Amino acid sequence: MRCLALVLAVAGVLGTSACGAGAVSHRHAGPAAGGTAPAAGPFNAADVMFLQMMIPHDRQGAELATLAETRSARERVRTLAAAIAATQGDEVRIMAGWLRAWRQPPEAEPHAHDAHGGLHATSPEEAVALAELHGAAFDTRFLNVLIAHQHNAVDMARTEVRTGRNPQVMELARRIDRSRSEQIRQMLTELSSWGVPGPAKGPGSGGRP
Amino acid sequence: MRKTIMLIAVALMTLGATVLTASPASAHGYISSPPSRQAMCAQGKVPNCGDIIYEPQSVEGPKGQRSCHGGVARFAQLSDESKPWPATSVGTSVTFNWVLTARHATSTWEYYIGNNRIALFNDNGRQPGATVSHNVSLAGYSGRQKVLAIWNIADTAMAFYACVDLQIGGGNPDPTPTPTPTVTPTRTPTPTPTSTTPSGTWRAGTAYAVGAQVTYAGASYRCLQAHTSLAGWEPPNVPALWQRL
Repeated sequence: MRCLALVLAVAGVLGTSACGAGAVSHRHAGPAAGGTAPAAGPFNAADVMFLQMMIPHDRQGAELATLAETRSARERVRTLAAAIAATQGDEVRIMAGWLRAWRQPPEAEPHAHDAHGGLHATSPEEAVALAELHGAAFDTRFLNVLIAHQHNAVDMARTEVRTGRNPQVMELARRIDRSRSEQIRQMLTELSSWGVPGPAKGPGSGGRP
Repeated sequence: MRKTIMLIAVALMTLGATVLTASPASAHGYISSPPSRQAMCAQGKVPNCGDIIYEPQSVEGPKGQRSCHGGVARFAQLSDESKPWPATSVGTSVTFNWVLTARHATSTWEYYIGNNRIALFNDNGRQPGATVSHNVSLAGYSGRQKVLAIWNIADTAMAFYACVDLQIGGGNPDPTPTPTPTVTPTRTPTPTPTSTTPSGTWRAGTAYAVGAQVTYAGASYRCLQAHTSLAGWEPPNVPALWQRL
């Protein structure tokens, strides 16, 4: 059963086979949990997969968020987006450092996650589409895209909490769950605070600063 | 043994295994604005919503239902008409914006008021974009109305359900105790943090300006970048936002 679990995980992570690769992960496993060194303690293939998926997800979210700096008409949106970009940059550095210390590739092989991630990923074209918008049109689309992006981060984090092994990676996942959930709440609140401009009401109804 | 493993691995990849990411709360979609009932719950604007606050995108039930919770028992609160659902004021038409966390191939999007289908958008099996918006005419309707929106998935027997409470054509939404027709955020950050006064102990939900100083877990920090604090952004966890002094 344990072998099957590893195969499942490895099939997802590397798109390759064999328990051997899973066993490699465990070579570093030890009783050293609780140390202060980065991501000390044992880890499993689910930890590796989470990091390999979360790094590009965070990067993409940060790229989307950066678009708001020059395109959003609302200071609250710009402030939140800038903080999201900055904090996700921090996370990427930490996560990449863990993978390096574990001698694991920073990203999975191309398309290794397609089978379970293709539907969920924000497409690269979305950034291009967003970059062409400004003002209210940008803000509405931007927040809806970023809300979805962060919902998916929550899902990935919860999967890690259920299936991961390394205490520090799991703690980061819990923090990602909390922070993204709260960001979603702020963004939904922001969206509904604009009112709903319809042709009969005119765009003036959305004019909160 | 090795051969068996290979077979399992290959089979999994072939099947497009969602095994690893599949959580009970996996992804899909809901209406973010005007806020659907699940969006109201996720914002904390309606009390005692249950599980839906964590996964507003998950109201997935068999096609053909006409309830706000899509027949999903654990989301039954969404159909509880005794709850104080805030209604959003709109004119004679409204644009519904969807958050999509999985871009399923789509047959149709339907909108109902009571038994009347007021709009239908046929996507003919296409995969939607990152977001979807529909402009829907509300001609012939006024006052408080509940719109049921249904996203019918093309390649499964399932659909996603969302109810949106509207106040059509002005007037006070009734019977909600909510302040104004345009829903007012309850915990909106102050637009521009103006104070750089040391703010004591760090707290979530506070607008911090650059230079603000706080203490957290016995250490002092200075704010490096303006933001509204939130759970998960505690100063030691976000060096981009806080510098330890």
